[in-house]
Amino acid sequence: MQELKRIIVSRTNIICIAFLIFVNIFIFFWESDPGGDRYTLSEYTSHYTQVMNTCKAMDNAEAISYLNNLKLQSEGKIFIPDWLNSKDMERKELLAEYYYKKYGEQMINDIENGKVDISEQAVNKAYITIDVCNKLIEKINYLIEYPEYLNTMRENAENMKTVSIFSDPNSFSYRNIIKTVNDFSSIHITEISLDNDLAITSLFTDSISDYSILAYMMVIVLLLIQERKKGLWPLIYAYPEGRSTLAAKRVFILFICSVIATVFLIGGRFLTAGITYDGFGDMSHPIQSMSMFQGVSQPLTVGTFLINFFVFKIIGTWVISLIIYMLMLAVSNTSLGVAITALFLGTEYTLFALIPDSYAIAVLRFVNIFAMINYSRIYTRYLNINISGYPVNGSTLTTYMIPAAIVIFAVSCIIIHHKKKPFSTPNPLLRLYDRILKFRAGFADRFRLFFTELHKILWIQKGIFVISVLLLWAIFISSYPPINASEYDGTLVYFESMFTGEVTDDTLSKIDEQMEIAYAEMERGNVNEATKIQYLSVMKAEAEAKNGTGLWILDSTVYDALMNKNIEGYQRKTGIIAILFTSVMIAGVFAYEHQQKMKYLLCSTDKGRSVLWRKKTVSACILTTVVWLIVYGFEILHTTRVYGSLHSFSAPIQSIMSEFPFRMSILSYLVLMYLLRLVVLLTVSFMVLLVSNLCSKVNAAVIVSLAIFILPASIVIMGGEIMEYFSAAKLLSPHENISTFVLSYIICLILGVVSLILNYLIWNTKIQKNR
Amino acid sequence: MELHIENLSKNYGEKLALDKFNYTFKEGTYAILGPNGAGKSTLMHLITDNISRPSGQILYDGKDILHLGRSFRKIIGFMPQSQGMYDQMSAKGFLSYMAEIKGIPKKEARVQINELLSVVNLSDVGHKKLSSFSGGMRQRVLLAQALLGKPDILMLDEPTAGLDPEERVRIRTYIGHLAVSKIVLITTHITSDVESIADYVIFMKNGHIASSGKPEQILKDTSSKNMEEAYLKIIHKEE
Repeated sequence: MQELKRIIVSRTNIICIAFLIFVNIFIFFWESDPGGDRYTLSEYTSHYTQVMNTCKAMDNAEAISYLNNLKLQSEGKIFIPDWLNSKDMERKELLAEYYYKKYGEQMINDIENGKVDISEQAVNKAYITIDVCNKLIEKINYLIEYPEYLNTMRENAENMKTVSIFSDPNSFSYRNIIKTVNDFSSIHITEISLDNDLAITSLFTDSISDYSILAYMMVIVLLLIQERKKGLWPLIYAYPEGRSTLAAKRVFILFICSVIATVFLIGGRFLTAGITYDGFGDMSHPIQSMSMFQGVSQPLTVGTFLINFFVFKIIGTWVISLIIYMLMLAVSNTSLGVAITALFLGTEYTLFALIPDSYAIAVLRFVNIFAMINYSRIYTRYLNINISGYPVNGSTLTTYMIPAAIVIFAVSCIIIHHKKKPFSTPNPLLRLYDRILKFRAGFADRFRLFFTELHKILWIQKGIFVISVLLLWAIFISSYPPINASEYDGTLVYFESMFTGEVTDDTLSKIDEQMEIAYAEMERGNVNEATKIQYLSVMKAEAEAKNGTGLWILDSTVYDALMNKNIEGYQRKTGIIAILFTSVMIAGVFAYEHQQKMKYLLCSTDKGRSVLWRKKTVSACILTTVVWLIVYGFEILHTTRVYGSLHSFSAPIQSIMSEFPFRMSILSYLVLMYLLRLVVLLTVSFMVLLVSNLCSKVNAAVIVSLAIFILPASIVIMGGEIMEYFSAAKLLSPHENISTFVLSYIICLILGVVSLILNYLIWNTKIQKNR
Repeated sequence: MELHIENLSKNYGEKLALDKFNYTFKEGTYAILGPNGAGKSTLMHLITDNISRPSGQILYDGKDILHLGRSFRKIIGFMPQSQGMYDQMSAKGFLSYMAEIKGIPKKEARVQINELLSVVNLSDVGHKKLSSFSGGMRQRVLLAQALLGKPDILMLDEPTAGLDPEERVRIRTYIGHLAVSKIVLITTHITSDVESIADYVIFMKNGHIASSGKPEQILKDTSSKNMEEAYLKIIHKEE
């Protein structure tokens, strides 16, 4: 089948699927990073499996007790040495009772006498143990509570039937109560138990595969209707097999591609999760053994649930691709088709994501194309919708909608393909689009060279699309930089805020004043004041150290987050995003001219050499700055929203970064930090421009740029530390000791300048050669 | 074999592209000449049902082609005035693809493709990607696809445009041989092609026939030495 062959072996298809598989696996590792820099994913998994297997041999109550004890021992390894080594005797004494009571004399003595390993490695292992214990305690508590959850449901149903507003047998509420109890009655509660469900959980908490499937199917649809762009539509339409037969074949091809997308994108991620998390656990367990499937009302095993999941994904993907194909067929103009499809998908997603369950239009969430691929959101939640007074399960509604949708959209595709003529009279929508294009063309005519270059990047090379995606990422997906919560104490932050300012004798006397009040309160019998005194003594120690140095006491949480103080990975990831979008957007700047074979024509003109080169470079710099503004602007916005506003700008940076060698204010440091990031991004953009000038195709330039600038950083995230030295992302994630990077910044800058010069020479000297 | 066109009209908004066009095509080669916008391509697109037909009739052996549908499309070969192709495919791959779209059985298609590649002088490069082809080579691939399936009605929109003189002679000779038992419609601007291969010439202007007949008759009627002169006389006379 030539049409199938054309799609499957096309370079676009192969590159697209390979790229999306890589992105999926990369994001899996991105999302699965459990312990920041303290431990790796494999260390976590191996420890989790070990502890879980021990717990599996015990009953639930015994396991909880075992885990609590293990957690306590691990906490002791972290906190006891810190307390024992404290130089603040007053604080040490105050906490003694608490420590002896919590960890016991034996453990404290063992640590003091060196019988317990408290090396850095052992402490890191203790952190893993605490995280594993917390996770397993949560799981076992769920297993204990689940039977109670089912019983409560039954009891509530009985009780509610007696309440007047629910007692009418013809009302939705009454029917809903009965249906809910009946639906859950077939679940055998005794079978649920603890198991290694990390891979399964990872599959169902996956946030990216659905979108990558959507992107892949969009590419396939564009490949299918490629004849329009290539001018072959009239030719194909003129031949006997070029209408309904071809449409039917394409409907089938969409199914094949749905299978490919599901197997490679979802299956790939699942397989990666299985390998990373030591297998998939026991597939014969009831799916309700995992807390996220509490709402599943059918008695399914994990294996059956997975099979259903994959079949559902394939069919759902097929339906979505049919809808996209139908829309693209109905609108003759490909660009307009893409715009309308994007608008349709946007509307559907808004309905799917934002309609609350209680709304009358909640049905639109289930009769929705995103419901068809978002299995976990539909099938892991139990919700009955009111349809004419009868409760209909949301997932049932979606399930029954799918076969109907397949028939409707497949037939519509075939009919539209058969009926739509290549030279049909433009409909009002196309006429409007034509007017917009004319207006745009008229507007573009007035642009001078610089704006024309910007116009080329933004419109012709679809840079505006890249910026839109970046904006969507910044608004909806990007998050605030995390901090290591265990290092932050709300009470301490409260006192830091109370004494914010340059430390003087006055600050010390204010702290003393507060301590005296606390002591007085304690003598009156208020035991809670002991904690207050403990914190105030910490504050006093800090104030004494800073007194007379010009340094401040302040709450550093927001700055620690922004300055990447104790979770280094986050900023590296943000850096990758910035480089990714910069590379994709500007990689075509020079390559486009080579691709269109315009270079020699351009260079034969008055301004085609240095002037045009300059305008192109400046345009690229402006767009890089836009990327920088979006990425880091939203980072500051999200951070201040979570950790509070930026403050104490005039305080010396040493107030929060004692080792920073240059004297400057926090504001100056922030400006320096973000400007350095801009400089790094600009130098990367110069290198991308050089790559662009060396490539004869835009796609090649994008791929090479990504391979050079993104791949090393991505490999670092996936565990290949050695690639750190080849990754510019490191320079976008400055650590506290920013000064140690001075050499790296200088090298980066030199590379940027060299790239710029080489790029200029190549743009000109190649012409000389050709002449 | 007869393709009868009766009162065929087509307009694009206010512009009349074809105005009550009447003609009967029988076996032979017909060269359609005319300035840009005369309605030549519109005529071809109406015959291939690429444009909806608002009025008039196109009858093949007395039956409306719209009613014949697939069975009519099975006997046509079309070469539009376009160089668009799937650049990542090889010439052979592209022809195989088009053969499938034309409903030609695989075995037969393979034989025909090899034969046609030889006719258009592309046998040596059949395996190469279309992206590496020059304009003339692409034009020959497009011609080859039109000839696939040995169609009874062949519509060629500027088939020799972009070819070097040697190739042009070669191709037009081949087209001349084809026309023995076929209806061949050729639109062209190259009047030397018309003189050598056309059995009939149709001059079109503003959507209707300005003049038609055998080439020698046209030359005689317009007292012209060659077709180029006849073309200028007929078109300017119309103005």
